[in-house]
Amino acid sequence: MTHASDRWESAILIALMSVIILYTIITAQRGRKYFIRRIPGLNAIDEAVGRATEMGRPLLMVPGLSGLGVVGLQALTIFSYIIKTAAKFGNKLIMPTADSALYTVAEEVVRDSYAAAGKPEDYDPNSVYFLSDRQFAFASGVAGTIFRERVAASFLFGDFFAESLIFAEAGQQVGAIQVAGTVSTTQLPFFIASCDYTIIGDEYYAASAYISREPTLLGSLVGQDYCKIIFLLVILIGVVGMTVPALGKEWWFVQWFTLK
Amino acid sequence: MTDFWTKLQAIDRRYLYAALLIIVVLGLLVPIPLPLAVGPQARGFYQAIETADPNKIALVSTLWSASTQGENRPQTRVILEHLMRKRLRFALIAFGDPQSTILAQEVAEGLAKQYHYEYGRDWINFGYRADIAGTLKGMVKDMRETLKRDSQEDKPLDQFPVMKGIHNIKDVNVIAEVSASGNYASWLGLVVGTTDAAFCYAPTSVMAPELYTYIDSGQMKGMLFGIKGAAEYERLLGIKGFTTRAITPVSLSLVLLFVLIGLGNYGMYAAKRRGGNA
Amino acid sequence: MNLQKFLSAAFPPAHGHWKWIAILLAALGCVVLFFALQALPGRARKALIATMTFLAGLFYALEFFWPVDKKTDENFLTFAVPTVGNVINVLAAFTLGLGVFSLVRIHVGKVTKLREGWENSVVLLVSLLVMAIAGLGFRDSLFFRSLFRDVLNSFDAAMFATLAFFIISAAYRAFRVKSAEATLLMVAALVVMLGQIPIGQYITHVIPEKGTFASLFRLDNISNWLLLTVNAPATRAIGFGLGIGGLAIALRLWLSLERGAFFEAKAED
Repeated sequence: MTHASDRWESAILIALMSVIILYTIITAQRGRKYFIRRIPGLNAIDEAVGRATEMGRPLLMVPGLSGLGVVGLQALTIFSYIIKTAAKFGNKLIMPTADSALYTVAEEVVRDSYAAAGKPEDYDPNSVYFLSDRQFAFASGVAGTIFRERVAASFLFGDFFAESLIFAEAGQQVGAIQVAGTVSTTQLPFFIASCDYTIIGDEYYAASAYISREPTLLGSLVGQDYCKIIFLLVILIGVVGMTVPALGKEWWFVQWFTLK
Repeated sequence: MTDFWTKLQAIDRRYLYAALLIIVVLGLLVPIPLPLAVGPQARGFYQAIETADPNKIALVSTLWSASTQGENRPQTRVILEHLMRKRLRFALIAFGDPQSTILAQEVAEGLAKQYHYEYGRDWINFGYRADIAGTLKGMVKDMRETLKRDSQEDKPLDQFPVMKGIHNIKDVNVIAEVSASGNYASWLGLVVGTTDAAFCYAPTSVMAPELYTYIDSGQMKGMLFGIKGAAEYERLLGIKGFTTRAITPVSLSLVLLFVLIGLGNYGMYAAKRRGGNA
Repeated sequence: MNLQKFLSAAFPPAHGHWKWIAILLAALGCVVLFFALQALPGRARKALIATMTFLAGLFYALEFFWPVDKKTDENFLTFAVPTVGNVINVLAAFTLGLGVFSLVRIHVGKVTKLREGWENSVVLLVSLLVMAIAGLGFRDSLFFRSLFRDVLNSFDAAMFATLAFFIISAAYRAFRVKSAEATLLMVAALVVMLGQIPIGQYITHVIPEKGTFASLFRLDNISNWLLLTVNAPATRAIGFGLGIGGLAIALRLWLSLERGAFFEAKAED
């Protein structure tokens, strides 16, 4: 599907969901209160930063192999909140990147986060660096950094592939407290096995709302939930349609969602 | 003595690594002759090639490099071997990693000698393409115009007998991708649905669970589950190659894992009992 | 006149001397633009970033939603997609230069100040230089092929192989019967793993592979059932959530609704 006209039904759904998300964002910005629960993995961020302060060892933040897209930018959004917390305690920070485009934005985000925390002078330009865009060269570089610096806390957010377990096990070996979140479902089992806290599925995109409680982000999160309800309804109606013999495969609703 | 049992819950990782190394080496040296049951996904893949229209061409896309060649190379080999046995024309294409096209070419050349497959007449290599979305969109409409030249001889595609009657994706009978990464979304979004060609996937074991969704929806006709999938395919082809031998160390590693999980749990239980008695 | 024809007429391809003059003018324009942007006050810069982001997003949104001509499968913007893609590639190429510069800067600093681990930095810098020279100047030589195939590929394969060791130690620690959920997880994992290997399949090999009720209880069939009936819907559900989450963040970025994340602190100077 390269154009909306290839499958108007999908395009209409995308447009409808966009309208719902924008509507809830606007209502939240105008003062409507939305409640969301906190999730343990994100509560652990403060704990991890505190521990790094006590131990006097650095914090590691890895955006995985993410490029300059929504996954990588969301990772930077989460890191930005962590950095603001860490800046208050004067923790040393290390952020290796595998994508040169993301690196340039990461550098800005780190500098801005220090400025926002009122500690622009604490920003170390050497703390954010590009390492390699080759998967295992990057993996070995980060693992080496974890061992040499004996990081106290490790935050792994972004797109991860086979290197995920290398990072998580290296962090485990130096006794770092580890919080991970990824959109790569195949890497989740490895993070769950080796990290202290793992953020699963769309919690990854919700993380910034959980941490900051900003109305825009909260509204967006609630809009996402409404969209999920639409998905659920479509599935339920589809199941009923396929189960009831009078409707079946030929029913217009089922046909509408059938890949032609 | 109790101490020994409680220590089982935290065995030094170096012992674990050493045990694994020994098991893998032993498994490669002394294969266990146990048959491997062929799963429905490998069977689906096999059937897709078995029933392919001989007037069309098979497209084998590769996205793997040296790092995952332990799994992806045997997968590529069994797929190409099946195509050659069936005397089907095929084309190689690579996305994501330029290394992939060289490695797939190596595998194809090795088999081509055995099956007397001639480059340009029976098979062709379209080479590495950086822009997957653009290339796939173009191939749906016009393969010759989109791909223009082959990667080995750098000649226009029109000059190769293998391209006779092949114009667009509708002239493809099977699309097989061997991959270490998630390229399937591009194929599913841009190609599957525009053609009757069976779309089959050969991922690494780590990636495989993610793909059952598309097997279930019927968008993928078959899948080779890592090296185990390649071993199943070898069984279907009736050959005993590297993967049939390599499945022994894989099996033994998992047995070692079961033993270690058992020991770890017993250690935890012993520690609890000790704590309770104290 | 459509947009493509208008742009082609407005900016005809330059040839000969004019081509070089055009390149020089473009480079000069970029330099002027760079300094002009640096001189902008925070608020104006913020507005400019928001406008540029919106326009870039609008291009792709319009190109996707605008109906296409059925014959050509294109609309009035499709012709520009490869060009915009090229612009993105050029930007990425420049950032690669910045990335390598950052790496070199950090490690040269480490070597000159003889900081702890400076020896590693020397190895890195020498490797970088040798590989760059081999790749740029001797691409078809045995020297480059050897470095690429024999050294780099072997390192890659070795790093991937270490995963087997890490999986063993991670699984050994993770699979503990601490609760009902953990037990369920462990049993499911063991069944799936046993169903994948001949040794596990041998346990239930007396049961026919298919065709009987008992076949359902073969380990390989249970394993397949778990993957197809339990794992696939869960993966699909996670996928739905991720898709919607991705759409939400894309909308927030496109319309610059995300506050406090990107460039905001700087823009508010």
